[in-house]
Amino acid sequence: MLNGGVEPDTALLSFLAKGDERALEELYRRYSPSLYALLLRMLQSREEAEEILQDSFVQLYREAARYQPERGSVTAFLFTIGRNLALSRLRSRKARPQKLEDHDLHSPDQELGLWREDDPTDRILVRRALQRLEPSDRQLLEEAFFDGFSHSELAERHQLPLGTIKTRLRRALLKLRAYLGGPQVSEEA
Amino acid sequence: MKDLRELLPDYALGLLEGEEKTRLEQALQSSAELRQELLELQAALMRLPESLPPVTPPPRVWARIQQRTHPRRNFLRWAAAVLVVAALGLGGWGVGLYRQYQTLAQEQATVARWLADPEVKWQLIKNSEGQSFGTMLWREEGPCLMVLREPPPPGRVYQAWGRKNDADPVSLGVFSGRVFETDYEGFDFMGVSLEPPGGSPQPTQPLGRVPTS
Repeated sequence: MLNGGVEPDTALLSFLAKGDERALEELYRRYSPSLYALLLRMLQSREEAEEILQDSFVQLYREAARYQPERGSVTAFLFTIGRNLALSRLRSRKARPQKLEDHDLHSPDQELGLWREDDPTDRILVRRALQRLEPSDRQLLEEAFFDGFSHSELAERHQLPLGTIKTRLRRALLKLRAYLGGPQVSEEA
Repeated sequence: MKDLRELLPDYALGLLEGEEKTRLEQALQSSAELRQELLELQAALMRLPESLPPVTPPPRVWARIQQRTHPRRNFLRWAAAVLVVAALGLGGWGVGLYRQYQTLAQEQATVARWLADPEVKWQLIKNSEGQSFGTMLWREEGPCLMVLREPPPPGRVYQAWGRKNDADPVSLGVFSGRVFETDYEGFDFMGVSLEPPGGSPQPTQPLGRVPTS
């Protein structure tokens, strides 16, 4: 049973696997603003972002019993679902989307998620970690993660050899992991 | 193993394909060390969305998720709505039946009252082909009662008319049952027509008439 919204994510997913719909509502309350932001960034389309957001939580509901805490956090599980769905959508398109204009803060549909228990500490931490990367590495990582560009697409966009793209991407991700508190990595990596 | 470890970032990003991907996935099944490293890389990658300012989705998204995850509850709501409508329909039907019964009882009481009067005279109301479709009862002093064999068809009403020779018919009222009380005094003929609800200024579908003398 839910207990005043203080349950850890893993407990919520456990409740969800048993069919507790309030657990899904709580997870949606906690993470839909972040996932929606990710989907808007990836798809550059509000309509498609809403559609994939729906699909993501429906898939989370159906696959809750498959979740294993030792294999990652609930957010990683949810964001992986959402990102994979968005990547499939991006790859089914003939052309890359144009950049969506900045969110209209006055639109009720685009209200910033400031009402939730938003902790800016995490955002600052991740942004700082990204800023510590080489700017070109950071750009490659963001284009691969958010835009779903393949190695060959990145090589063409940046006029760089395929091997260089692969090397820089690996370096960027390993450094990001280190800057976010994972194992240390040498600057030469 | 070192070679395979180098493939992990690409795999975490979803950029690994073909033979390399197959080889790494086979190795992941047997190597806890590789699996652990992959989890760490995936965890780092999935923190990238945290760099974005959160955006509250519109309420319709959650409503649609609920519709898709709880179709049974939606079905129950739908079924409940159908039952309520059916109950209202049955109730309405029952009320309708009761009203029909009341109308019939009133008509029978009216006819019985007229038939109980020894002074009452009567004659058949016939159409232009000579077929009778009702009866008119009357008394010498003027009151009369039209009794028709069938109620009007759905969406139509009967309208009673009085007419003097060489004059336009005068509406005496509309009725949707089979019985209509009125007065024939001053008219040479009494007639009945079928009209749309509310009646018409002049008869549009005359059924037949009877002379009053």
